[in-house]
Amino acid sequence: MNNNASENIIVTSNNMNSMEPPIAEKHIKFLSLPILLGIGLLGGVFMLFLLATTLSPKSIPVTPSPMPTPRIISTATPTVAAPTRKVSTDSAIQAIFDAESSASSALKNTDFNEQKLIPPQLDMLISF
Amino acid sequence: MKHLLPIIFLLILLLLQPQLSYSQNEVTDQSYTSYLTSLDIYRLSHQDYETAKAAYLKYKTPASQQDLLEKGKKILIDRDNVLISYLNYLLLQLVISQGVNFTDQTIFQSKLKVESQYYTGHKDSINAVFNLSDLTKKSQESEKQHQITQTVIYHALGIILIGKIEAVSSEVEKFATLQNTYVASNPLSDKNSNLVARWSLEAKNNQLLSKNKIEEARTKFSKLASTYTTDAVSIFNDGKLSVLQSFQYLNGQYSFLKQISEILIYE
Repeated sequence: MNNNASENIIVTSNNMNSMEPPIAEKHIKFLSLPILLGIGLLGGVFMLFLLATTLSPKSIPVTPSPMPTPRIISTATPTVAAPTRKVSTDSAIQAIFDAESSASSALKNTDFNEQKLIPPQLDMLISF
Repeated sequence: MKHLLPIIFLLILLLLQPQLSYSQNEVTDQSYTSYLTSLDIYRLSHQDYETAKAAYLKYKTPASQQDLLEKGKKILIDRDNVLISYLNYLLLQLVISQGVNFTDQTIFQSKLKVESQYYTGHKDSINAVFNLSDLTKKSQESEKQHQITQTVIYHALGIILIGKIEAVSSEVEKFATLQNTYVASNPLSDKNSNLVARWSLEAKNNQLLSKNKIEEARTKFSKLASTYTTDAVSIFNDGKLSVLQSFQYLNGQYSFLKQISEILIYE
């Protein structure tokens, strides 16, 4: 009796091995295709995004910078309505910037503790 | 070929230009090196003098006396050489320092040359000394003169410091003037106008405080105009403190001006 039960079990397990794959393997096969498809899709979108940003940066909406473009960088030609004012304002701003740069340089580079200027320490009390 | 000669001449001048400007730095570097060399020689002579003096005091032999005489003459000569080379270096620094006005330059060049000539004459006279008591007198002469020299040196250093702070002040003032001119002729929005007015006032306050400190330093350094003072070093340090305070106020002024510039760019 016991031998028959164990034989049945062995036969059953053998049958299972030969007839169909285990449940875990079926699930893995079932799930792997969508996962692969999903990864492939994401990757493709990412590649497209990269291509788009390198080829035509203007076509991709960029987060606006918090500060507007400084006037001195602008090279726009003056409008007909008030050309003189715009040109003189830009040059005045540039002059202010140059003066700022000179002042900054003077403040950074001036040394009031120049070691070379310290007078020599000499023994003036020499006696014989 | 003839029409190329002026071009070749101009090219040669252009190539020489860096050499000409380099020579001024070269001269001051050489002068400083010469001063350091004389200082090293003096320090070695001082060690020899100390050794010879110890031996003479211990043994009192004619040989030790003669040795002390030789070492004594050498140290006095080397000491004079240090002062001569330092005075020459300081004179050059006075010439190249920014902000030193022409009058001060002329006055102090003359004072430093007088001191340098004294030590040159003193050095030459030492070779004619043949005993220790005369050598002691020679040493005391230069000791007395050194007190006057010290005062002149520190006064010259004070003038150089005043020149430096005034040169910096001038740059910051140019910055302020350009800004004020721009703001006066380009009306700003109400909000920015109030901000600029406030910061401009702060900048002016700092400028005023800086100028007061410069005058304070000048007054302190002027105490060194007397021929001789025992407090030359402390008077100089006091004046230097005022110069450094003035510099801090200048930095403050610059900070406010920079803030105003930021508003003007984005107005």
